[in-house]
Amino acid sequence: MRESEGWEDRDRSLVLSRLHDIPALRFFSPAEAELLDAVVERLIPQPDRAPDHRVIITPFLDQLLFDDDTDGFRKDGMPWDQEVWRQAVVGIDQTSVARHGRGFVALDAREQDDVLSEVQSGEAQGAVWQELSSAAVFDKVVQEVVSVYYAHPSAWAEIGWPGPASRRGYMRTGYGQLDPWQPRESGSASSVELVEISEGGGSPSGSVGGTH
Amino acid sequence: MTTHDEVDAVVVGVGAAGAVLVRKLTDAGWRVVGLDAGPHWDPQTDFLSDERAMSKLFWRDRRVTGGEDPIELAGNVTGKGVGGSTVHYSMYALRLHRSDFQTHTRDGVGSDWPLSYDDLEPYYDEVEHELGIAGPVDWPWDAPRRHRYPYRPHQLNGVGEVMARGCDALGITWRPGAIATLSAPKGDRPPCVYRGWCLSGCTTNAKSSTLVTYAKEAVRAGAEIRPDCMVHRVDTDATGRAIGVTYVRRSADGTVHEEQQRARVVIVSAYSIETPRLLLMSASSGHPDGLANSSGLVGKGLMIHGSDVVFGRFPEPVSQFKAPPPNTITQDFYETNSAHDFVRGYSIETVGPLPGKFAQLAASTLGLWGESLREFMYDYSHYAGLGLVGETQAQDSNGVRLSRDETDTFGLPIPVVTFSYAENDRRILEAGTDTQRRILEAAGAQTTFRVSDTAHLMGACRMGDDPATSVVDRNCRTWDVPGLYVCDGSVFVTSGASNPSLTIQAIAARTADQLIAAGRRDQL
Amino acid sequence: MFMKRSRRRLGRATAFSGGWSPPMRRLRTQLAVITTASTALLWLDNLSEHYRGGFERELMYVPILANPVVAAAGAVTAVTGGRRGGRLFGLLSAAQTAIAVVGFVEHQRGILKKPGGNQPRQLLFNAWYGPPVAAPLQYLGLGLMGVMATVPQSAAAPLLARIPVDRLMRAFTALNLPPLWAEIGYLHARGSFQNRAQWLPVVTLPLAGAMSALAATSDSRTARTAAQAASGWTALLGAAGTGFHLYGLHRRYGGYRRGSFLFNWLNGPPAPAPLQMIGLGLAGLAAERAVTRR
Repeated sequence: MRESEGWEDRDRSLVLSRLHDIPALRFFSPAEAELLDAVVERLIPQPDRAPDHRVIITPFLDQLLFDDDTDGFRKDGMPWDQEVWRQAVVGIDQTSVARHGRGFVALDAREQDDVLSEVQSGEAQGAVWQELSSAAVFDKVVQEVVSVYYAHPSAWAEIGWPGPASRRGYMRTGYGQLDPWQPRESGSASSVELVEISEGGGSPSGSVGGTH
Repeated sequence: MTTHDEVDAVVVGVGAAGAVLVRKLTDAGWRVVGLDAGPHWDPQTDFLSDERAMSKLFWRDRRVTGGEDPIELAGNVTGKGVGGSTVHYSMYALRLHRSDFQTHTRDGVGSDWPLSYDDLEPYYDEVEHELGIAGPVDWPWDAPRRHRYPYRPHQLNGVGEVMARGCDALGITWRPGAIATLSAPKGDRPPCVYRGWCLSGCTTNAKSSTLVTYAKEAVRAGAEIRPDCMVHRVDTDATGRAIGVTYVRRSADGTVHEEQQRARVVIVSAYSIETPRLLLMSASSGHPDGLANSSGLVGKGLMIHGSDVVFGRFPEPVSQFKAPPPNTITQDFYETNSAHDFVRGYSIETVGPLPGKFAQLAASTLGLWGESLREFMYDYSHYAGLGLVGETQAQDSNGVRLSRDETDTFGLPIPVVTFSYAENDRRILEAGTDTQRRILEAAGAQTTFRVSDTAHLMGACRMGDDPATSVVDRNCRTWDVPGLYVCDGSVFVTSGASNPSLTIQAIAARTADQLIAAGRRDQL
Repeated sequence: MFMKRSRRRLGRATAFSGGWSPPMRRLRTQLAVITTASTALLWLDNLSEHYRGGFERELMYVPILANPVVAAAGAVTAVTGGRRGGRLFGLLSAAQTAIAVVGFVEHQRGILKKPGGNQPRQLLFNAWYGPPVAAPLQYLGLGLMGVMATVPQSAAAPLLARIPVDRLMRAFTALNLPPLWAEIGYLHARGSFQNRAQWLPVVTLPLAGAMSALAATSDSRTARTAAQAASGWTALLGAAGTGFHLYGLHRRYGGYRRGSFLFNWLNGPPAPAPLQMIGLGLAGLAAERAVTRR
């Protein structure tokens, strides 16, 4: 937390609470949380971190849903967020059983990825997905998970982002310019191929956007 | 139930328009009460540098969004709390073009406004001055400016520089954006420090939200701003005149009770979803279809801006998180052009989402998760995004209605928002994103991707000269209910291709002057 | 041994101070003091600005590294009343004028390279946020002042025979004011003249410059009095400007608080910048006093 020198006290407390005050489970049952932990592990794999240094995600999802700290709106045809998450847990397990004959938690990583890809495609097997678009549910889940992950200071250095910026801001704002308090990039340039899966049609869950 | 003594005016919603009204009417000697559904923030203690924590600035009550192209609600378009969405808006402070007020006459689409650009021009000047808008020395697009912007433009950030170089290469005119954040001190407000968290609330007060400008001045001048008051009914007397509002108030201890505020004039400034919702919820035996709805147009004709973003990856760090995301703009494609396969047009502006938002956009659009998502995000600071502000046409099928079976925590029917693009809107989206991509590629982008997005709300209680085809007149007075005014973005007739906040504020400033004049003549 | 040392000192003094009348020697010492102090303060400003610019080009290190050497030589010259370090200070001052010219050209190139640089309408915007247009010319003035403080009497005599030193100094002041004025003008314009006091140097410096220019060409008593007043006013502006800039830092978010101060120092109104006006003003006053004693 060396970078935190220029932060407001209240920002530092918030970030520290994210590291040390992990909320207790109140919304999900232990079984649901176990499955979600397994899903999160595949959505944001952290093999580079020791188990006790991994960014913890599921309890924050639980807190969000229990406190109803959600965006509040739902897309027509989709249930409210709390119900989406309950159904997501059930549906992912159903797809898992349909494709591999076992529950999601019991699968190996490759099989789990296969199940998640199936759910993402919108063609997943499972009773839940007869009523609910698996693609839309998957989108919702991924978005909330990445939001929690990238709110954690461990995720900031690897993307070259200094985190909170108050009271101090930036001065070298031009293209290619780096401020002294900006982390130097660790990773090499990404080689991920970019394919737009939702061009022009809005996001499947109707809960992304808000750039301007 | 507590009933507060009659005041001269009660303003429902102290946001972009409401704060202007409260301030101006108070300055004119009126006794004014402003009611807001959310808190009265103190930026220096309540605002954090944190994307998740600051979602509390958004209107996140229960809503349903539908239609072929459902609008993203919450963070994108509406705010809750004094200052409204100006607390988290991107701060482009743009005027509409002269043509925006006459699209029917000029282009055969939409309707003409009852106001012209000339009617609003002095109010644009007034509001720009009050907010301390920082803008370019010259404005090469419509409308010709009589006065310079009160403050000089801000420096370019990485995204702005990318856009500028791309535009230079293609022969497109660009300018540093006209934005509502200070480039030099103004009163007790400091200049911007380029921390880049503008969309999560400004901790320094450099951002000219109405929270730290109009609302603050209004309180100093003696206005009462009452936070945490959710108005659910405009009250009328036997003659049909508006006499006040009824609301539920949440106290600090969490208890909720109902109160009434009597007023000679009721002004609803709750924006394009809550304003029609309130009018519809105020239905009574005398007004079975809702208040001020004899035209049947309350809640109809909702417009947005097609706001797709194209991101490009660049070899050197762009650091898109630095400085206000609104940095540069082009309006070269704003007006109808016979070479296009659509009428009207679009603006292109820089954007700069913070990591959480950027990761969400990429994950959703590109279907990324797992190791590929983490690897993709390593390049976060190498991306530059250009956003579209594409005009849409008002359609009666787009709008707001009350849910028949679902209610919020107060037991009030929740709003159902419906939106579908028209064919012309879609063509603008396609042409605009094509231009965005070309600019990025001309600037040296190695790869690009497009994210669909929507922004801004306009219309749903439009103004006009004919009671049969509009809800309010040119002075924002409802045709049907004496003493009831609607003044916010919902009175827009066309969307234009400019971010709407400055026009909303100019309309509010004009309406305040009209009210003050009518008050002197005793014709409220 | 004592004798030897003092003779050597005397020998150097002959080369640089010899031949000058006592008031002229005093003037030269004062010039050396002013030049040294201004150079040191300019270094602070220069360092802040080039650091802010991230030393994007290696050339940006040149003034930062050269300046302390010049200031050190100037300090020695000033302290010893020109008996030591004078020749080196003179040479370095000459070199500093060259740095100033190169810097000036490079700053203009930097501005033109920014996006929109080929469009005249974007020039002002690019100048606002590009390398400061006239800033390197401050080194030109200081360099010339350093040369003036050290030039041997034999070299200066032909010129001084035709133009008295006070008029030379007036001309020097008059020449230095326009770039300073331009710099203040466009930077205060960037600040939208949000404080009315920002107009003061913009409106009055041309008048001060005109008075100095007049006194440089005329020996009339009125012209000299006016130039004297103008120099005093310029110095006063410098002092007041520094005060305003320090107040400006306080007005920024975080002000002087720990963790904010350095950032505000780098990005706020440049606190050392107005001190140049003190330097110019004092130089003008010193010239007048030297003449009065003549």
